[in-house]
Amino acid sequence: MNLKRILAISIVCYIFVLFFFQVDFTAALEAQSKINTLVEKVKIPNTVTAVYLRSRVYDTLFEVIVFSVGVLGVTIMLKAEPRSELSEQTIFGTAQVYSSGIMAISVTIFLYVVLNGHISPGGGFAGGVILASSVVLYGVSSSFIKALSHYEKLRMKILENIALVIILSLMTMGLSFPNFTFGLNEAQSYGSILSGGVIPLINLLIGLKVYAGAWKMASEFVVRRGTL
Amino acid sequence: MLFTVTAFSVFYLITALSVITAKTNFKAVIWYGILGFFASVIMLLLGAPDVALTQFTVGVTLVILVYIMAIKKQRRVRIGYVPTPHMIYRSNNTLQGLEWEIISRIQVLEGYHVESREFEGTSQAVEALKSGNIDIVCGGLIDDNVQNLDFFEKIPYLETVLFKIDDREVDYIHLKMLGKTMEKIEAVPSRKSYYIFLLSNRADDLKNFIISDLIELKKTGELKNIVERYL
Repeated sequence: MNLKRILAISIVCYIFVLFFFQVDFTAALEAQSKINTLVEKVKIPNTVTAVYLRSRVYDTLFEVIVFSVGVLGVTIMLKAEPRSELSEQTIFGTAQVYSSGIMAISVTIFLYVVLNGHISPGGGFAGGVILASSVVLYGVSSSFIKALSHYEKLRMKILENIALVIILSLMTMGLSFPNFTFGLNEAQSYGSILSGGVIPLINLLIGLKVYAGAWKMASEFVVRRGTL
Repeated sequence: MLFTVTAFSVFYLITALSVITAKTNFKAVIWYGILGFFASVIMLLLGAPDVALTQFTVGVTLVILVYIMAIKKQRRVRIGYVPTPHMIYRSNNTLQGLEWEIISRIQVLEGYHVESREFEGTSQAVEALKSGNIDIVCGGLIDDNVQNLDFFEKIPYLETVLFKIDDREVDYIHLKMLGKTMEKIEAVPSRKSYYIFLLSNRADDLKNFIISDLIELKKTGELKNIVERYL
């Protein structure tokens, strides 16, 4: 090991220790009343979702747009490269069985995480990435041609664009009319899925959008440069 | 609580250092996955399960998959060789010889995927190197026999002695080959030279890896073992 590396490591350790003693591990109590007001207003248990899909929906709106632009950039950049022929992969029987199983489970987890995003930890972004990574895993370990075909079959291209349009319109509605809830959560008890109003719907659409984008990026990468 | 967070933070720091000190890119990516896991556990402990979930799915699964795909593709090294006895030759459909042994050691050390291509003469191999079809040329090349051109670089890996026979100079390998055909040769050692690999100028990181691996092989004495086995 040379001197430069030792110096870098010691500086990293020093900064780590410095930062570590700055962390306050006791919960801040003053914010409690603010959180209570937020929960009363939005009527959902997960306050994080209440923040990013209601009181700070503007942030999420641009986050979705940034993600879409990122996907667009990757797709355009990779368009310049020639398509490589996808040949049959060497597949291990067990891996194929397991990856199909994981695929099935992860679709369920996707729906759970997305629809329960306002009750328990989760949400659109996490759910979308769960589905996308499981599809990539399936493609890598079983058959990429099969994994690619579902994108066409389910018309994900159109679905993705529709999702984006609906997300944008719902979010701008929420921004323009702060009390806009579709009247869905009036009769629901606190903590049920429909009590979130449009929030589960937005979460589902964000999940679809993130899934389609992440899968598009990974598949373009494989299609242009070959599988493992 | 404080103890658990401290413990995981220390693990996090250790894995972060492992990422930058990892020998190969593949190992670094695996360490990066472990780093993402510890990060998500710390987030979970500090009361941010939403962020922990996203970190776990993005940082541990998706990014690692994409990185591994990228590394696997980038690690393809195309070798053009001129068949030379003792150095690099094909027998029973597998490549053998001193140079191949060195290249396969480097392949194991760096996790490269080597593809080989046979050439009849050095000039054809150099032409392929110029057009970018191959990355490395080998096959008992000597420093003095190859002109210096601007599209490749010479990497000496083994010292040798040139012998003078009558009015021409031959290297050790060719002297050995001559010894099989001719009865008696009057060979006089004339001067020192090097066996070299020709490396495309476009592959900068490959050059650095090969040079550092050759130093490592020399240090551990493995190079000497290989040379003794074949020459």
